[in-house]
Amino acid sequence: MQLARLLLPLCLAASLVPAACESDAVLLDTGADSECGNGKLEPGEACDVDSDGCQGCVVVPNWSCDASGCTQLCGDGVLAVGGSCDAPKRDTDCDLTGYWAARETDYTRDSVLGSIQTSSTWYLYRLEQTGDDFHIAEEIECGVHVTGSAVVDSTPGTLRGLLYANRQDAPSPHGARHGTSKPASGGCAITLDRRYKIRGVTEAYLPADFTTNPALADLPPLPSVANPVTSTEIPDGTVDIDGDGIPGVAYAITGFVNGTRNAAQRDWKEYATPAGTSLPAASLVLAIPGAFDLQENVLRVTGCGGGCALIGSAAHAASDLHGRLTLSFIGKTFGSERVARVVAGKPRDSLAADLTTCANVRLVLPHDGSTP
Amino acid sequence: MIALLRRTSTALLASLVVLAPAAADASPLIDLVGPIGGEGGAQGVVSGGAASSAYFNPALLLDADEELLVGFAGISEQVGVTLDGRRGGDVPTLVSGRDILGPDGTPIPNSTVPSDWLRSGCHGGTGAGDCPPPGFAARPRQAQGTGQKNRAYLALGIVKHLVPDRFTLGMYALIPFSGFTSARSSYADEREALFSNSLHPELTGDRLTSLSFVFGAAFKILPTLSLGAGLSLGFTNSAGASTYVRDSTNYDTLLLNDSIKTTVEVSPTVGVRWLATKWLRIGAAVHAPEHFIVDTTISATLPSGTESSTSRHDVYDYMPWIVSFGAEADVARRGDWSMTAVGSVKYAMWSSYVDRHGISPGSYGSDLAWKDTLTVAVGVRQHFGGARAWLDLQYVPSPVPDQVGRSNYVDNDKIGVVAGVDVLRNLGQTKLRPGVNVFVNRLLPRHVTKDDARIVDELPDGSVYGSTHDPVPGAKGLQTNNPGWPGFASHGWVWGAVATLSVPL
Repeated sequence: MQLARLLLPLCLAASLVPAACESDAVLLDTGADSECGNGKLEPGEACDVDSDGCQGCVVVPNWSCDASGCTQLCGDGVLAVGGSCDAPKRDTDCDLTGYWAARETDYTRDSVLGSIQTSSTWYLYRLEQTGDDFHIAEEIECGVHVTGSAVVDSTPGTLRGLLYANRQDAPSPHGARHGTSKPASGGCAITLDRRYKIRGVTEAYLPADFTTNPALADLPPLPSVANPVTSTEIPDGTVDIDGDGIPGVAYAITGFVNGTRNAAQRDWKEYATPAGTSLPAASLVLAIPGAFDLQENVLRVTGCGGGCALIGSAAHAASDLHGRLTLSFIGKTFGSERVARVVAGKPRDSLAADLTTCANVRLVLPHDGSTP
Repeated sequence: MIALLRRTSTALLASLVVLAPAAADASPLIDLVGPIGGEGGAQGVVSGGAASSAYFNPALLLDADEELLVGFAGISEQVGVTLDGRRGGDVPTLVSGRDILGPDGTPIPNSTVPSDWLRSGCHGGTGAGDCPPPGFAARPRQAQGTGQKNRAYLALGIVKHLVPDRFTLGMYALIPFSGFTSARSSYADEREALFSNSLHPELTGDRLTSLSFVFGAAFKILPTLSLGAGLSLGFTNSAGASTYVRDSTNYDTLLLNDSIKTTVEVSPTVGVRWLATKWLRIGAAVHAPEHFIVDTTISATLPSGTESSTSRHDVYDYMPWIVSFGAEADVARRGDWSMTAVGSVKYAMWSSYVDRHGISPGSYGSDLAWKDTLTVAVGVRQHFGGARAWLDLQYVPSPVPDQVGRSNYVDNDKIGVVAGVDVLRNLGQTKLRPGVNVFVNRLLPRHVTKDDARIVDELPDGSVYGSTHDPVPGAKGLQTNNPGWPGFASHGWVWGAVATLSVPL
């Protein structure tokens, strides 16, 4: 008993020894000067051809490019068709098990011009499927990019703050997010459950039970301030998730006005192929139509000079426009060549590795700013 | 009373004689690892007399067993640096023509190079856009980061009671297996783009290979009061290089005479230990600043007859004035088992820090000057027969403010845990004390976004071609190769384990 008491401190310290090694990382450039798109491979460009495998003159992970075009890498769940990898497909029809780059595309209207804003939110998912049902086994969130009347991006602090928030895998208090994928109409019918998320506020603003699908309007109202342009308040229920010292979640806005907007946000999203339709079986890329709703209260606007009033009002979901979840298959096995080219480390083991993974995910599924 | 004064003055005189040589080398390695051997944990100023007390509080040498210590330590430095993606800001390739004047009419410095060169290099050749052979090697961002290293060390210590319970000597050394010591400088600002184009942890890295030899002595001047003095040994190096540059494009033809001088210097530590009551012990120590200096003088003669010379003052392993204070109290005893609580604070005057290039961080802006820090540690000790165990928790704030300007010093607040156990065993007629010690420091994540207004614009607005005075395209806005721009994050771990064996002398 006494010996155990003596050894306890040593065991406590040893348990803190990290298993993983840290690594350095460089995030993707967001707007480097170049003449990308002129078809000529120039210094600083890894490719300059018109192909899904060459995005912004950077070769997309799991592609290789030369002057004539780009081709995919086969293996680890990706089959070549006819002996080459020119038209690859997955080795399962509707089983979604494996790693996926995911992009949610949603539409909002700004309160000033009423114009449509197209939003991309990226994730890395690892899905596990048994029978027709699948669930998210691992997940990280990889930031937001919005285009339209203004360009909105996650600040670096927001990217880090939201990376592990709003878990969709099993350790979430709301359980893993589930879905179904089953043969239908010659392809696959896919659904993904409704999921509620919060940004810049406490968990108290989430529904206690996600499965009851409550409307956002029926939940406790989000924290708010009287005038975000002049406010210095820290309303109850807010969280400074990005570490900038200001309540709420921060987004950098450029375009007709430049500045930073800190907001309290809550939304839900759900996806399903419409009845009687299906998505191509074994496809590497799946686009599942969806629905979403959003609530936002702007808490503070900064760095916007005389234009602060223009970015001080909230955005609203464009309920007449349907968003979608786009999934791009990466591979099945952690450590395989295909997965290693995107997933820099076991998700949630290393912040630096996860940020690198996110940069890769955003290359795999770049923002699509088109509107319906 | 007179006897007390005589003993005190004798001890102080001995201390002053020992301290006379003044200033020199550093022991950031010993400071980071903490006491090895004994139960000092993270609080060697008041707890666990052992050979390593020669550094942490020499007065505790009187408490140490007379023994020879051998230890093997492994330390893993895992500091991850993440650079934010650049949002433009590239220095255009046209600066390589060296025909650009700033708005004040002076040529932009030759240290301004195209960002593309750093990203992709410049091909050596004679074609359009080529650089003279062999070309300019690419220096991708953070490709030469140095924050992930594993190192092994040998710890040696000896304690000898020359006059039992009166006067004790001790020696302690921590020696890297992979090389005696190394020093590696890097610029903290945009100039580093020309070298590694990477950010480097400021207070670890090569500092974990610093020379670490310490001698100490302890004197008991009263039954309840001891004084101690310690010396860290180190070197100051002076190097001179006289060169004749026969061909500035081919340094293979360089003629060179070297002149190198190394001097041994010492840096003092003084400590005191007071037995306030039967159950309460107080310890305090003061460390003088320490550093490892390399002064280099370079002179060059060109075929044209031009002579030029310069000197550089590099400072490695800088440690500031450190004042430590701690208290240790016996809180429980039951049979062979006893428990002691320990608490200590350490005030380090990092505001005097100078980096490896001899630059004071405050020169980048008063708000970027380093801050003094106060480290707090608490812990417990347990004894059971011949076995001892210790556990300490400490918080070590970073002296480095948010690097919003030119400088890119990488450092983080740390939360540390130190734990260990050793046991006295008989091996035939010999008593041995094998032990193990583990320490873990979590570098708390931090991120900084640069203030563009404080970054050096390497191609200022209004720059013109020298030959035509036409405006230079791409000069508007900020152009910089500062490797830390537009922001960076750091986080990580420094952890290690030590196996020790103490043999009674």
